[in-house]
Amino acid sequence: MLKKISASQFSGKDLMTISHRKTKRLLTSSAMKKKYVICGAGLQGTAVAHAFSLMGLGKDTLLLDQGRVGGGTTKYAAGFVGVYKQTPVESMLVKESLALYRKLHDEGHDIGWNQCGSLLLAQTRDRVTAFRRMKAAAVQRDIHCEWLQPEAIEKRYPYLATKDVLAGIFIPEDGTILPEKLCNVLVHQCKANGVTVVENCNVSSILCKAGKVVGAETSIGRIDCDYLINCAGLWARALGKQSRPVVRVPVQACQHHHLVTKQTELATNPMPAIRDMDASVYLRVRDGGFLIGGLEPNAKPVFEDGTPPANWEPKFLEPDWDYFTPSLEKALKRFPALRDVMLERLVCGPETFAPDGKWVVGEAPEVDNYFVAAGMNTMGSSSAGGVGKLIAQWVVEGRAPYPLYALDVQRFLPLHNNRKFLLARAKEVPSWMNQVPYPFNEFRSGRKLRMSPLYARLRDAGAVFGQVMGFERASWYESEENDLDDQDNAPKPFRVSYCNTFMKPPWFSNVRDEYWACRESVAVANYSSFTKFDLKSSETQVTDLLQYLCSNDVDIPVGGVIHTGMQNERGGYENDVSLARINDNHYMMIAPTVQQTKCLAWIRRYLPKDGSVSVSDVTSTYTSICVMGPMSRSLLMELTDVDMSPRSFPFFTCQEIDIGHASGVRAMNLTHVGELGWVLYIPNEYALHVYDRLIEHGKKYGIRHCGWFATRTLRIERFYAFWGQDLDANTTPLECGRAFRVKFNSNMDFLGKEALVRQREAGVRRMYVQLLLEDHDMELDPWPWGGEPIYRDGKYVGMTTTAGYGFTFGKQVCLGFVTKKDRITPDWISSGQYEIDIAGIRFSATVSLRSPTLPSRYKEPAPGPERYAATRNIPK
Amino acid sequence: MEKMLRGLIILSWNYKVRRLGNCLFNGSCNASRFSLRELSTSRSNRERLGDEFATPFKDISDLLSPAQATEILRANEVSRILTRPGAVKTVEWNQLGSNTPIEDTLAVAHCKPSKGMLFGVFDGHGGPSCAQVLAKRIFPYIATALTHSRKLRSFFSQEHSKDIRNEFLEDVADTVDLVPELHELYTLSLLKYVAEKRKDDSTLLEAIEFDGTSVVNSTIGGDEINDIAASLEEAFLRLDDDLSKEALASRKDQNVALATMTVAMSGAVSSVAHVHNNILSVANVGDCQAVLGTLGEDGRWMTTKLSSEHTVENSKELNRLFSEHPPKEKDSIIVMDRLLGQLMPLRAFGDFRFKWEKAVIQEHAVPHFSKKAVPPNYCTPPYLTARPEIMQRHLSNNDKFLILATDGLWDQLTPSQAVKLVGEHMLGHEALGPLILPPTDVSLGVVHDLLLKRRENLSKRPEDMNVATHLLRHALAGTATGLDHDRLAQLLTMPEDIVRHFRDDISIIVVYFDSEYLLKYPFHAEMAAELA
Repeated sequence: MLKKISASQFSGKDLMTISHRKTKRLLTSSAMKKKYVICGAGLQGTAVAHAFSLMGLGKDTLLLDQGRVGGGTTKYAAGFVGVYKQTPVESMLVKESLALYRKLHDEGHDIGWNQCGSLLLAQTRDRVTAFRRMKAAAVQRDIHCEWLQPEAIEKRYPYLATKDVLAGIFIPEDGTILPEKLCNVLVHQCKANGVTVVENCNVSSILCKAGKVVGAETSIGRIDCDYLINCAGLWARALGKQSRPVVRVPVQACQHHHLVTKQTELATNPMPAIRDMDASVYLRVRDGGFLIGGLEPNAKPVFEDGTPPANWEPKFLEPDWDYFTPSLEKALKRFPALRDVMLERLVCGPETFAPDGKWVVGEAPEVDNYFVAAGMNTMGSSSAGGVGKLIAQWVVEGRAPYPLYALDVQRFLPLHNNRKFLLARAKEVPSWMNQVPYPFNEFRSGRKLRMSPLYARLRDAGAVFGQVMGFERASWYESEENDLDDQDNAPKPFRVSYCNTFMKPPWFSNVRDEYWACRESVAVANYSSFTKFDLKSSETQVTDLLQYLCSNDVDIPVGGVIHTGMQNERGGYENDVSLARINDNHYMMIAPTVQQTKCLAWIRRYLPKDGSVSVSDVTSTYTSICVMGPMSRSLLMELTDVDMSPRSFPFFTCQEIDIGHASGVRAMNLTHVGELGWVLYIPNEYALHVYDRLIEHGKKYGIRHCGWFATRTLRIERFYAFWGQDLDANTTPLECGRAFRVKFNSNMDFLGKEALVRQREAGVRRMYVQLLLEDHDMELDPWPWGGEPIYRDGKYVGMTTTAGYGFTFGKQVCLGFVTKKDRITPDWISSGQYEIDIAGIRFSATVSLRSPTLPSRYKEPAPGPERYAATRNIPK
Repeated sequence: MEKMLRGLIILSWNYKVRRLGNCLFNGSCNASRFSLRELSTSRSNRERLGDEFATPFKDISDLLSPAQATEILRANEVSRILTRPGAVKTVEWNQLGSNTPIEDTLAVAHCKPSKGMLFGVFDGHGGPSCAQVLAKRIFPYIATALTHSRKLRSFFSQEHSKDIRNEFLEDVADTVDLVPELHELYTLSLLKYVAEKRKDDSTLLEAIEFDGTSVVNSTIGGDEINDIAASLEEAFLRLDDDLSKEALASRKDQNVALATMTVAMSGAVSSVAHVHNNILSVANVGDCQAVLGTLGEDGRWMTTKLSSEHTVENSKELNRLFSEHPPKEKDSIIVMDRLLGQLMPLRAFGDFRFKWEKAVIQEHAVPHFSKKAVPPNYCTPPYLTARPEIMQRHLSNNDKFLILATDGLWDQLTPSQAVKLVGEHMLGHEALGPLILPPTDVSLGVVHDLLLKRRENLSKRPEDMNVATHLLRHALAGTATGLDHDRLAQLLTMPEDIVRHFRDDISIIVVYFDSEYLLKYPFHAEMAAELA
């Protein structure tokens, strides 16, 4: 049963393949021990092994496959390597891949590398805008994008029918490989560098001890290891289930079709890889013929009713011509001469997709030293080289070399690994990836999953929902006025949030009204999705732990609330939280919604081994309503006996209060958006009662519902940084005007202190800025949405992170980071002329380094105990 | 056409004998009939007919208009909505002959003793007579076998012997009329069976009552009936045995003697389904097929075969046959993929040339026909049996329909294609078989045009209301890109002597289940077992 890799797949002598008889002997004598074990010898797995071997760790590395090298998706992959991906970090990884492939090619290895470049075509105006944004942002990624007008495309590629093409982008860096060949070359080099490769080896369980990987039980015996990397592709989810605790790898394979033609004269001319984005079709030359592929809606999951069997070969997938009809139709429309080319075959292969269409890489939150690289969403050829190097570096250095939350396996919750959810979502993901990348695009499937007890009330009040971590959160409210007084209480349908434009969004006036309610009267917002943890101990251990994990001094009086970063060793923000001290040895932690898994994994890693500190995730225990606006104090005082005045309930404090007839509501005097107000953490069963009292009593104050688009606008205008959008693991408090929140003056040691102290002495090279656009026409110009390049005196200096229209300023407000090769000073920042490039147009901007004082109908208190300035980069 | 069939047995005494004498045993016609069968089972009909790349008859002028073709297709179509509450809601059937006269028959009836529904398709060979007799007679035999002895006793006390068939059954589809002499003979056989059955059971009953234990043999759903699987088998074997006895009995009336012998010399395969409460039972002899269509949670149609074909392609069946005869016969039992070099199905009703002792054949059959009546290498009869293979299933509310059809349909459509066609028809959609491209080079343009044509046809609503006609049309005219009218017209206008090489007789019954009834149906096998 155990076979050797057929020698014909390799050139030269196959010295390092251990024949299985030998392996068996080797393993039965004593358990095998390898430091790094990689499960799955597809493109990703071999690339990881290759990266280890390049680091001189080949002898410590074992690459396993249940079948053959490159037997899964790799065998069927189309092999396109495109450098321009949705997020900069993906592009960076593809650059690494490209470097590796070019090197292999230059060394004379046959990996089928053809740097043909790629031509992206736009058929719609919005796609053109998306292309313009791409081209603008290319400066950050160091990608050359050549802009092509339709005439230029017609001239350069006369064989294309371009009547319906509005614009094109040519990316010369892109190319194609033959995945099987690349996989074999990588394996061959791995072996030459000492990596042990074992085929036909089934992993029956992955062994963990004290939350750490220690080995694997396999069909050839037990293998001890220090690190395990799950690169099992479409089997990755199933392999994840082989450990205790289960490692959740939420991926699902779907059928992906591509058509191959016979060799033809037509394919001998150089031709770029053509990606007709609006048609969702790609076509290019391969092996002297053409290859045509497409991503159609309603994809067909593979093995819907279970896990693919171990010995399953994808060749058994029956291609569905009818499903491929639209792709072929659109391809022939674009390239009419293809009509006369002879068909070779239609290939149907499995492609593995993640529920959000992003790669799944990184260290598992459930088990230490367990890494994952899977779910490549048709981009396996692009990702392999970069992801391989990334994982190897991460494993060896013990931390990610750069922040990549968007791809991190820790971005998921258990719900994402639910098979039924995955199946429903997997049908949508493939075609979703070619959609116009509008801001705030939403999935339609797998919705109404996590909902607060207020969901039905908010829906009937007009809420239009966006989903974050499976949680339905109101983005904005439709026609608020009518709904509050609506007499007939007919339930409203569930509505999904949308934007569908790069210009002034359709919800502009709704958000404006909600914004002014927050600033001038009173509004309620549902904050329930925020991550909430309870941390407790019997003695002072919890304070000691938090003092080490947090950069701010958390030893605050009981009843106090504090904002603090949780830094990594490099001083970057692993997390940014609020801590309320409920009791001497009891804290409640509020963190961004997306941190629910990641934050727990981070804390777990540092928990005292004696179990003296308990952490529990109480996210789903409380409904949190934020009551904000100048009238919020009066409103709450109608509903509770507690004195809400600044003297007895000051800013940044927390009390347990009664509201209406409900009790046990934790009220915190802060709003995360800079307005006066309280966040009420209400035990779920009281949530409706409290909400109903607030709405009932709030009517006379003109209370409104407020969605997260409005709160987002508020915090952007106030220059509040938000983790996951502005802050990441690379950003330090010194870079974002938050040095005042770091306990530099105490003797206490805390995570990242050394790095921060060093940086304080050396000075920062990046600085968080707020930019107000001066000549932007809200109605006519494309809006900033984040991800636009910032120019200082005509030179590129950084990117915006988030942006929104500031209603008080009456201007577009962008937040972002400005970088400099050497020490950056506030003076340097303020002395430049700034411009922001939005879809190819540069708008001049004024810069600020500190949270503004916003004029208001009500007297805005000076920064101090009554008002909080989140960002305080004071020019020296 | 239905009318025509009714008169067939009466009108064609002489014709049939002639046909038997001239055709069945003189080799040439025999060979062509069997060669058609060989073609139909060993290769798909689509290959045989070629597809749109190679239609065999390009120049036939005077083809039927679409309306004319439709008229022919619909000539025998019937839809019946059943008003009696139960698992069966509606039933639709249709037949299209290739042989003249058609050798297929079908029957649908309500079985009074079991309060169940009976459906049967019968595919005759060597003439239509055996299939016709089966269609008329098998249901009363099944009803008798099912009926509990106590009911049989009360039935007998009422002395309704003259109209015994109607006592047992309420016909829904009854396509065969018998000449009075045969009717009389067959009624007598049935009465004899009932009498024996009553006797057997009453002794048994008394014994059990004396014992004081329960007499209930099978009371699923509360109706006292005998075990369904055992009853179906008993009825099949009893009827086959009666056919034999009737042929061998000495008679004064030469017409009757010839008729019974004709029935015994011809044969038929059959698939009979019985639906009782939520239990579907299928008894199958030969190569008809019963296929269940189930709607999956994801909206896709799932296919369950409830019969296995008793042909040489079924290795289990071959092994059974070999095990029943001495090893030295292994090379002579199956010759040219046929039983003793002659018969395609490995189980069948009638065909006593493969069942009787050699001496019996020589005494009774040879005088009427010729020496060829004894098959070659005839050593250890019987070689053939009418023992059915029985499959049972508890229907759930996801089980939407059952397709019963003779092999004429299955030559043209796979079970899953048929299920998809019926399922999509149920939803008002058209369905097509998979796209099969020629092995030669084909350009993307051609593929593209084919696919667009498919898409256009897939978006249409089905032309035929009757789903059996819908299946028939797709079986004959279905191509990878949609229905091909020219092909349909060609197949319907072919001369009689050629047409049998291209299509066999086709009989189709589609039974729709009542999902509401099945959803609410309280009894499940486990519960019944627990209660017992």
